[in-house]
Amino acid sequence: MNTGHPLSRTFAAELEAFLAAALPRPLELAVVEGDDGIRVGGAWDAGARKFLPLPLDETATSLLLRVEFKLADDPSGDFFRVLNSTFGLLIPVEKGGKAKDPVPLVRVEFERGQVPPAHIHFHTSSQTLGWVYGRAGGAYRRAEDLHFPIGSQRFRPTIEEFLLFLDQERLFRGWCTDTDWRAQARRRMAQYERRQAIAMVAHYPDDIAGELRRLGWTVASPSD
Amino acid sequence: MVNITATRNEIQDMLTAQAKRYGYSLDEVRAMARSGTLTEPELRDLWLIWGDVPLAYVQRS
Repeated sequence: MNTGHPLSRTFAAELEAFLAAALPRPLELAVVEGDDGIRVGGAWDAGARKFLPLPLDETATSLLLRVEFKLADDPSGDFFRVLNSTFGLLIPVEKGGKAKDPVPLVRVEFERGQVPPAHIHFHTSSQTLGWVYGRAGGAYRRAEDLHFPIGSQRFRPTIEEFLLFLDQERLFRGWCTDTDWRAQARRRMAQYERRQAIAMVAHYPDDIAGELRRLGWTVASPSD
Repeated sequence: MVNITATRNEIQDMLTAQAKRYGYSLDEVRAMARSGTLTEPELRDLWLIWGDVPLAYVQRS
């Protein structure tokens, strides 16, 4: 059994604290330890043994937030990394007076090693898109089946950025009012960007050394 | 935080049950994931987090 890197549990705990600061309802994330890594997600459905999306508020028609990560140790064993993630917004559905499975509005997926690794699926119907497919020839494809690229493996949207998007575009207005969750979001995004920048150094040491020299630093290669 | 452990068999059982809800077997979902034809949103999200092969993104001509 993979015990998971200790930092992956810190990641889960900090994510839970951030979401609790933003959302106006209590929440508890679930951490599932498996043979091939650790999964972090929303409420745990013990019956179906899968994650459930988190209601954004306490109302019966609350929008739902999906936030799920698959984590594993990186090759060095010194750190963990996100292998895959998915987050997005879902809408509650009722049919014949009964609640049905919620349907997604937008899904932000990341899958390491794929092209494009980070992409959005936007659920809508579009006559314009239908015209484009008709003009291009071939079968029509649903808008939500398209992978709109949104960044690279290293620099991709985060859950913090997604919550700020929901806030800025007024898709949800019931945020916690007695916390500084927006400042926390921006701080966490800056930390993420710094971590990713540091991770890039090992991939592009010559380019980075060159840029540091251009900025006036003295940088010596270990082979010098 | 809720802490849970799951064996590969338990995860496969969950995926089998969820695939069945959409009228598929687990092997069919796996084959769709490999070929880039797994488009059902709920199954895609499940496979992304729990699946045993990567989702493939196939360039269509």
